[in-house]
Amino acid sequence: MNAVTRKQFLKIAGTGTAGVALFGVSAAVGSRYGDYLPKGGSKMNVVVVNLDSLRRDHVGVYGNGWIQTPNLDALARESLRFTRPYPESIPTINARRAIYTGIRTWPFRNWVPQKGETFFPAGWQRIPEDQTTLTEVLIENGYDTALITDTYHQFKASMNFQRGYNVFDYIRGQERDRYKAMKTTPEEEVDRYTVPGNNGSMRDKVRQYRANVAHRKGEEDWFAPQVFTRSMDYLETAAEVGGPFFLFVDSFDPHEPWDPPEKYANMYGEPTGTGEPITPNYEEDGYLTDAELKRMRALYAGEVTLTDRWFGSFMNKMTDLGLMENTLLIVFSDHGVSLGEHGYTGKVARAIWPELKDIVFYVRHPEGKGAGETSEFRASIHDIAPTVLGQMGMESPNPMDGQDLSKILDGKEPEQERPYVTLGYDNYSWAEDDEYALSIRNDGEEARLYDLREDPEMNKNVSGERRDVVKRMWDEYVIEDAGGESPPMY
Amino acid sequence: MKRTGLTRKEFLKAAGAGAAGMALLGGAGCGPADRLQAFPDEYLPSGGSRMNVVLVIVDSLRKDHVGAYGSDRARTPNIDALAGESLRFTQAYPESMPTICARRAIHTGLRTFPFKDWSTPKWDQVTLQGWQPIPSDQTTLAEILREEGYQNLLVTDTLHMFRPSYNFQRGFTFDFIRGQQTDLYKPSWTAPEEKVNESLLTGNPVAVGAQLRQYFANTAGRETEEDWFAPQLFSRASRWLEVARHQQPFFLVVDSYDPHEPWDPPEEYVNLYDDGYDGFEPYTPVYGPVDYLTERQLTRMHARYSAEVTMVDRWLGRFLDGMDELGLFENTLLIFLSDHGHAFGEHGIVGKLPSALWPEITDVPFLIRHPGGKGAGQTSDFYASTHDVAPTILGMLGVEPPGPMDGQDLSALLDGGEPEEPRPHFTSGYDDRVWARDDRYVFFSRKDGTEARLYDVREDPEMNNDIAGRRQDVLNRMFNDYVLEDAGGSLPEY
Repeated sequence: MNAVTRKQFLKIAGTGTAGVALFGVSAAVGSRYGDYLPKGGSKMNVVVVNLDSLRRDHVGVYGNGWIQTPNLDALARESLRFTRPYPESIPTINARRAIYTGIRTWPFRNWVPQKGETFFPAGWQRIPEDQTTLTEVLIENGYDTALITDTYHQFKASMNFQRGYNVFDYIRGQERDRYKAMKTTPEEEVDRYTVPGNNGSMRDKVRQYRANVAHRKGEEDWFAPQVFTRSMDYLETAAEVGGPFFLFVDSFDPHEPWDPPEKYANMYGEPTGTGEPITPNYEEDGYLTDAELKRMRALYAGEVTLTDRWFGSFMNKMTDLGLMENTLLIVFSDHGVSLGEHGYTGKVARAIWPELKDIVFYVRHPEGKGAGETSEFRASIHDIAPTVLGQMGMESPNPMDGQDLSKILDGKEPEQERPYVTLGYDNYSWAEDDEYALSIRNDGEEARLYDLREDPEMNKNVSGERRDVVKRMWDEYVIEDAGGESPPMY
Repeated sequence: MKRTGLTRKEFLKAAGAGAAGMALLGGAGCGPADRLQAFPDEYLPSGGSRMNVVLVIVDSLRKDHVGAYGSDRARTPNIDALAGESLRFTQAYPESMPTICARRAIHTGLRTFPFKDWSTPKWDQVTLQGWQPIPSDQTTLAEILREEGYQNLLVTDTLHMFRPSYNFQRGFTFDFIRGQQTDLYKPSWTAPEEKVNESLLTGNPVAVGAQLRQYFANTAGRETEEDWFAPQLFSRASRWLEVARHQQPFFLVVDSYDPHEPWDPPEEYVNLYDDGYDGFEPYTPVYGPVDYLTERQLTRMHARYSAEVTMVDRWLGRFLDGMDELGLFENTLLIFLSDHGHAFGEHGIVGKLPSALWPEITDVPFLIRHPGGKGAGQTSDFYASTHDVAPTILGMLGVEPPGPMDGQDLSALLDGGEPEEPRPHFTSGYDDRVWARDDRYVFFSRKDGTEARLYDVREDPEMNNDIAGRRQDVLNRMFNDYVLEDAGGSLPEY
């Protein structure tokens, strides 16, 4: 065990020069706690933060050199940071099923599309009734549980992600949330927030979204600010009561639409002078001019910095309340988004590349276990539930597919090696090991294979030359992980 | 189209007559008359081909607490004025109870009773037969109207619709007002403890304390009357009208949980019905025998309910004013109804228990206001019900539902005719209890026929004299010919 002592940990937390101003300054405040257990309880608090659509390559500590993410960078100094994490399935709702249950959503068998839904990627549905969630296990064990989120897919008819929460706070209005009467948005306003190449569906998205946000005044009315502010309010009351609590902060930002306040919007580039590309078509990127694509990237980056800034406020609040010392904190994202790297924008199922599937993943232990360290273990979102339960010494009534990452936190080998990954998005699957990455449709067609050692950017499809590798990865990875037969085509 | 009902002016007069002058009871009739436009020749919305539809559901509103139904127990000048312009059903009943069961029928036109294939979604708060999301093989009124080009809007504070797996927002743009009763909105430990304590009697079940703690946590931020639930609800509905009128036709559902308990309207309302009271505040009842309350406490509780009814009426009045000012009464079909009542010791019970299906629980108001004035000021004793709402709306719009509905199109009644099918008797259900009536008797019992009660409502309309022991023949007929027949031959057992 290479755990950092309390004193060392506080030093680490304090040393971040940029971090000092951002968070981690309140060692004195926190010292009223003798150990990391909440008063009156026997378990750590748990805070899980999901930043939807946050690309790994847009975070400084993961190697980005042009976007400001000081708070996510500072967090790395206090956390075990996974360098190769991935989502076991995509997108939003599929990922959350895996997060809550520890059970893989992929390969999307027994999928039941829900009436009233308008978006139909395979596996997109509520948590099946026979699966138990992390929240349900924690509340059974005496935790207070809170979900604070603007991820509006969870508010739709028949969804059930609030199961087990004794507080759930829905911040309405993101993206296509049917919140305000959409036809109230004037056409000129739709023009102002679209590019000529945006399709009718995206114009409708903007029309709904602009109706939803018509009341905005200051930065605190934007979504990430609201989500983190309300989460901070929760922390204040929860800290007084003495826990233990489980708080899931599920921020839809930096998901599109990308329309952060002006100072963020223009932080990485200037407007083109015509309509702002705040939302991408989910298709090939030919509908965008070069200037529009550049602008879209700048807007996304601005939204990343907006999100980071309010995440930082939240971290400061955790610190001020002394919660860093008795709280297990997991911060991650559920997927990325394509911005023209391989000729696509948005999230297109047949266009899985790193920009879509590479995520961030931090585990911050209150005793400083693994702080400042990195792990190449291929952690996934379905490892979150078993890891939290493992840290608490609790068990779920149903077996989980994910792994308890605690051993890695202790500097040991993982329980089980994970030499390759599989993930899925609608009718497409992805497999990857140290040598190759494969994208393939679930009927075995449309294979794309990349030699990662020679072509780490994945620009050259070698599936034609290396049919043996395609077959091996299909048989031994995809079919194997899908339970012995190919994943269903819908 | 020739208008047959009250003229606009008469309507305003009726509304204004809501007497006692009180500013509190204002609402309808406040709009400046010169802003009103003359009725157009026909009621079709501008630019559309169909009427708008506004459906107002008011939870837990007893028929005998509405002035238009001949009661003075609560002041309801706005509902009364609306009734004057509407066809008013004098014998309306929900086809099943309570809240969620009734809403399933309203939104689908299908009977929820006899609760076949019932399954409770995980992590629900309530386990009553039939209490579940709308089954996915059923189509809702909103889904049908959406296909017809309607803009569908749902605004509600009925918390049960926010629970996991619930789906009453299918087909709607929706606005959920959070915080009613046991809505898991704010951390319950933030409730002001004094307020919880003043509302609890020694011996109150833990659940009552938990309900109030959650409720007071949810509502701790209130400042002015606008922050109460019915005011929030009707205000947001009014704002929606202002935007919706630009895209007609629209279908707006305003679903108010008030006057459901807890009953904590601003003090002015309570003072209308009771003053000089000091002590335990009965904001919410313990469902069961009334004798845990003193007479005085029961009076207080009942006054709080009446006060909450008046608060709802006042804000409904403002909403109706808004409709009026926007000229929407002229092209909008309006339906107003409740889902069930609530008992205040009339038969020894407080709350709404499945075993207590007396009029205080089963009798609801039901009004249909046609923009052409059809049926205005008239009454009907047809046993109108929750599952008639959808077929009636579709019937008036000339829209064929994709599948058959159990309810009936009541349009003919507005024209002075009769619906297609006579309804000589009616049945309802609540959890493990069944209920039936015809023009002579009211009957209710357990599903297995035990614990039966029977009343001759011609001679005993308040149902104080149970004659079940004497009229086994009538019992058998009502159970077999009405209940079992309407249930399709058998009642599911759970």
